[in-house]
Amino acid sequence: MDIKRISIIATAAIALAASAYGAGHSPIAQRQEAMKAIGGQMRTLGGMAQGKVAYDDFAVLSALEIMRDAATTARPLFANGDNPGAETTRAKPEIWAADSDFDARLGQLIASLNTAITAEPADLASFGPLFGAIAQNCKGCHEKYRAPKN
Amino acid sequence: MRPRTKALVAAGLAGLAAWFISAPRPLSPAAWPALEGAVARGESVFNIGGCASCHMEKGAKGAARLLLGGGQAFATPFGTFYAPNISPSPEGIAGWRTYDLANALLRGVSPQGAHYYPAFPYGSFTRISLQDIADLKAFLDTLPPVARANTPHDLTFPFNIRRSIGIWKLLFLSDKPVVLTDEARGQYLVEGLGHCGECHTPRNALGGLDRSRWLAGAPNPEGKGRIPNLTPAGPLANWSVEDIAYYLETGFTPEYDTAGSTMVEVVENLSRATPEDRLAIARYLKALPPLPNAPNP
Repeated sequence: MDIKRISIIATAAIALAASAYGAGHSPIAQRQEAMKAIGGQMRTLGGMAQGKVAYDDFAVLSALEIMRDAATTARPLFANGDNPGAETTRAKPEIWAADSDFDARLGQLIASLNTAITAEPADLASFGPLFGAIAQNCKGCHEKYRAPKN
Repeated sequence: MRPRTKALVAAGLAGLAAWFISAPRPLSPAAWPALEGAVARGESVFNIGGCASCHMEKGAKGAARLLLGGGQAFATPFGTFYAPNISPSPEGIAGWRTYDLANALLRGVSPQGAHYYPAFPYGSFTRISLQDIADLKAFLDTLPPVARANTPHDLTFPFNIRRSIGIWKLLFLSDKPVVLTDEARGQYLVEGLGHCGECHTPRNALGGLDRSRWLAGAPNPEGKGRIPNLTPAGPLANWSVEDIAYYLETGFTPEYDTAGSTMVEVVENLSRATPEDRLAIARYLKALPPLPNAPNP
């Protein structure tokens, strides 16, 4: 096993540990942990998508799986009506409203991650469009459901 | 002369002078060159200029972004401005010559010879090249006409006196470069066509840009939050030129956070620009004099 794979597995282990840590904490802390885990993996994927880092199919699959697991873990924490303390964050209250399409969008994100995982993209050319679809799902929700920074 | 007569004469002269210096100053029609506009290049001017963001219906997506009937409201300390119709319809700019568009963009003067309010960012557009204007005109003429009458602005005194803009122009309208860099193309795009300074530079009490704090960030006119500092001393300090260009293309920061509020629209526009132009913008921003973030109001 080369050093890169060890480091990828170590990252995955840390992400798992983080979600286990989250289990004993507030929904806000857990949601933020999930967002951080997803953002961290997006950096790995984005570096490859931009051609800054050599394409590595193994690293891509690991990152996609961590993101899918984090999004799946976070999904019930965004359920309608459940938002104690959310007014202290940049999450808009519309997320928890009954007519919100937030959950459907989160579902789309998870679906796009699953599509990419199933496709097992072997090279940058096949990975690019899959990454683009995932990135669009991230953006769509941020634009609609996140308040500006103060 | 009796003192009262003297005072009256002085007031009359001051009034005459104010009337004279506040007059709209259109370009000389005699010196106007004949220019051929190219539609494809005009589309690129249109995208970098971000015309759709203000002149389309609020939140329009896809093909509706090219329906430029106006009507979006912009609340400011001077009152509410309503974007006008710039589609090629009788209520819009049907019948305009390229010369008329140039007067609007470069001088802030309408075809009827009236001042436009600087909510229309001609303070930046005044740097646009004549060829870009000819190309833009060619592109605008290809768009669908929208039949929508303009909504009058709703402004407070004395800003509702259009002639007062003449004084504003004397104070603040200049087509000179704001800072000196070697990045000519990026400078043109940021200071002129892209009009980045209109939001990213703070304004004084008269609504003029504070050039000593060029692109150093500003309060958000729409209320919450702040418009970020773009100089190398701000949050872009650790971004590479490529990071900035990637952000302008995709809306993703190097941390894979995403663009927010009105910047979403700007990214929508700049994602259609060429990679070279996005890199030129990024290189210009990296060449700016570093200025600290403005203190919170």
